[in-house]
Amino acid sequence: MIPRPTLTIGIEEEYQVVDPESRALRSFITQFIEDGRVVMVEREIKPELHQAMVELGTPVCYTAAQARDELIRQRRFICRLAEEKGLAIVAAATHPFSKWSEQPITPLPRYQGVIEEMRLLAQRLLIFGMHVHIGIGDPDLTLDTMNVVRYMLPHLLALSTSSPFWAGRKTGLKSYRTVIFEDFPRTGIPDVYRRWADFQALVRTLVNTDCIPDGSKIWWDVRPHHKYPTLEFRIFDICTRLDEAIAIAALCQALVLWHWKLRRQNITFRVYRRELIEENKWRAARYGLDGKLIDFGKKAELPARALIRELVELVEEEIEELGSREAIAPIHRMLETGTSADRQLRVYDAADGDLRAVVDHLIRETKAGWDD
Amino acid sequence: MVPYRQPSFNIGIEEEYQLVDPDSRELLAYLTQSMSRERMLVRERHPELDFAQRIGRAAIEVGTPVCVDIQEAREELLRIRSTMLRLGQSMGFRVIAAGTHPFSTWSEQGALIPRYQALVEDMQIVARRLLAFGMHVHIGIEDRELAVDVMNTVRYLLPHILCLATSSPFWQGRDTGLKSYRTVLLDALPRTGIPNEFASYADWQNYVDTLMRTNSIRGPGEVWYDVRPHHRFPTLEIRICDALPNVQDVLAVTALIQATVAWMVDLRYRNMSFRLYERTLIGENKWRAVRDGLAGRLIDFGIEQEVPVTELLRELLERVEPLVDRLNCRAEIEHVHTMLERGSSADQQLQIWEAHGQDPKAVVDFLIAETEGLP
Repeated sequence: MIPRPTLTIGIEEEYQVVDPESRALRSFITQFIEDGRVVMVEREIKPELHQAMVELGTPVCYTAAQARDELIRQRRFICRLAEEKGLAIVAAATHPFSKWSEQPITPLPRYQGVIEEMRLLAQRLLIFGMHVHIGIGDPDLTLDTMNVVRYMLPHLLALSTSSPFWAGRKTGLKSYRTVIFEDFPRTGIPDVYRRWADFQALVRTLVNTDCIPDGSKIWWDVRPHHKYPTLEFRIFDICTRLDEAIAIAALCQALVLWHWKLRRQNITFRVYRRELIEENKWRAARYGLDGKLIDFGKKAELPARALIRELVELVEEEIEELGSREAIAPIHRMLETGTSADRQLRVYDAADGDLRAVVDHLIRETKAGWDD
Repeated sequence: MVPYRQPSFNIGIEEEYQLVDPDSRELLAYLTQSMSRERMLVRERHPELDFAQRIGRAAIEVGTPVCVDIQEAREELLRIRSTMLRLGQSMGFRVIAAGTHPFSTWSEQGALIPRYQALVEDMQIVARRLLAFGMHVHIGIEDRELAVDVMNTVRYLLPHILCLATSSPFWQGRDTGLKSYRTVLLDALPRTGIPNEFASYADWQNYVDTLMRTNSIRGPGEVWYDVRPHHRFPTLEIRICDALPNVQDVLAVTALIQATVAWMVDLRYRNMSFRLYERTLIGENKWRAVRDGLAGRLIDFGIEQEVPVTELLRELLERVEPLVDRLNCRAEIEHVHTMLERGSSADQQLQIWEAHGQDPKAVVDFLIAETEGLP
C-alpha cells in the first residue's frame, strides 16, 4: 500500500542584494568569505555564483502557517544582515536594470568551475527563483506525483511572475527569468518517468558519462530532490510579497495530497506530453495572469484566471484538510489585482519609466505584510 | 483545436439465444442476433430442423436498432424477445439466454449447414465446441479517439461488470466450480480477453491492419476482445458479459455499462482519467470474476487491497450516481442493487440445481422461465 505523503513544506529563496542609493545590484557575499570559505553568522547562507545573490532556505515545516513564520524569520534575518552593511534586499526574479555582464563572480573554486563549464550562460544567469519542497517519501509516488503536477506548473508560474524587466528594458514578458533559465541544459518541464527505476537509470547514465556529478544538476521545473525525500517545485520566479510565496507553497502541498487521494480512488489527473505543457508555460511566462492557457481536457483556450480559480477549487477539500484556507487567500487577491510583475509594470508606468522607482517599490514590497 | 464531440451514448444490445427442445431440454440451435450483420445468424444441430429457413423472414424484422437511451432499449429488447417467443411457440421450441447450456453437448455429429461452413473451417475444433453465448453492449462514442481512450480506461472495470453478468456455472452437465465458464471457452480463442492499452485510434487501426495483411484475420470483426471500438458502428462494444436470462438484469447491466462509459468520458473532459493498469493485473481480477462472481473479492489496485466485489460495485454505483438522471436510467441502475443482494444468474442456477437434487433439467426449466417471463 502506498503510504500517505509526509506533506512537509520547505521553501528556498534567492534574493538580490541592492544598493539603496544607486538601486543597482551590489556584491555582498564576499563580505562573508574568509580564506575561501563562507564564514557564517547565525544561519547558513548559500553563496551563489553572482556576488549579489544569496540563497536561504527554511527548515522543514509541517503547515503553511509554520512555513510563513519561518519565511518571515528568514527574510527578517537577511534584510537585517544587508541593512547592517548599508544594503537592501529585493525579492524579484530579475533586477530591473543591473546588467549581468557587469556582475562579479563569487571567488570560490566551484563557481570558477561553473563558469568553465557553462561559459557565458552562467554569467547571464542573473535570475532569482523560489523552490518549494513538498515531502512525499515513497519514490514511486514522488515520480507519479511529478508526472501529474507538471500540468499545473504553468498555472503556478503565472501566479509567481516577478521579472518583467531585464537589463533596463521592459521585456514584454511577465517572467523573463523563465526564458533566461531555459538556456541551460536539463531545464524546463520534464518528460514522463513512470517508475523510480526509470528516473534512476537516467541519472546513472548522466553521471556515468560525466554530464553531471549528481542529480542536483538536473534543473527541471519539478524534480525529485536528489537528497531529500521531497518533490521540488522549481518553476517559480521568487515572489516579492511573502504571503504570495506562502500561498503558492500551500497550493503545491494541497496538490500533492489531492493526487494521493485520487490515486487511492484509482483516478489520476491526465498526464500530458511535455511539448503540450511547454505551450502553456510559454503563455504563462509571456502573459502571466492576463493570457489564456490551454485546457487540454476540453481542448480549448481559456483565460488563465479562470483556470487558476478552477485549480484552487479542485483542491478545495485538501486546502481545508491541511488548514491552509488563510494561506491560500492571497491567490484570490492576485487574480483580482495581479502579480508582482503586474505591480512592477504599474509602478514603472506611474514613474514615467524610472526603473529606480521600481527597485524602491520592490525593496518595500519584499517586506510587505511582516515589517510594515 | 477541435474539441471532442460529445458522445451520443446510444445503446445497442446484441444477445444470443439458445433454442431448446421442450421435452428433452437439449439444445437444438442457437441464434446470434447481431447488429453488425443486420440479420440473425442461425446454427442448428440437425440440418433437417431447417430453422434457418423458417426463421429467415422473421429474423429480418428482429434486427436491433440503435436506441437513444435505456428506455428505448427496453422496448426493443422486449419486442425482440417476444418475437422469439412467438417463433418458439409456432415451431415448438423454447428459448433461453444464458452463457452456456447446462448439459447439452454438441458433438461432432452436429452438422452445420453449408452457409456457415467457412467460418467453422477457419476456427476448426474451437468453433465446434464454442457453445458459449454472450451479450454484447454497444455504447455510442462517435469520436474514435475518444472511443480508444475510453477503451483503455474502462478495461479496469470490466471484471466488476462481469461479476454481475455471470450465467454459465455448468458445462456438459457438470458444475464447473466457476461462475462464468463461457469466459473460459471464449478466451481459448485468439484475440480475446482484456486488450492491451492502445495509444490512439491510429495505433488500434495499425494493429488491425497488421492482422489483415498477415492473413491472421479476414475482417476487423474477428478481433474479439472484451472491449473494442466497433469496426462498422460508431460505438464502443463491451463483450465481456454472459448472455443473461432475465430482461431486468440485461437492462441493469447495460445501464451500468452505459453509465460507466459516460463516467470515463466525464473524467476525460475534466482532465482526469481512471488509472491505467497493465492487462496482466486486470487479468487477475477477471479470473477472480470468472471463478467467484459476486461472491468473491477483487483487488482494488488503488489501495492494493482485496475488497468484496459487492462493495466495489456499490462504490462504482456511487461514482456514476451523478450521471444516472442525465442518462435516464435510474430504475435500471436501482436494479443492480437488487442483483447485488440476490446474486447473479449463475448463483441462482446453482441454487436451483442444489434444490432439485443436482438436476440440470431443472436449471433449464428455470432458465426458460426467466428468459420467457417478460414483464
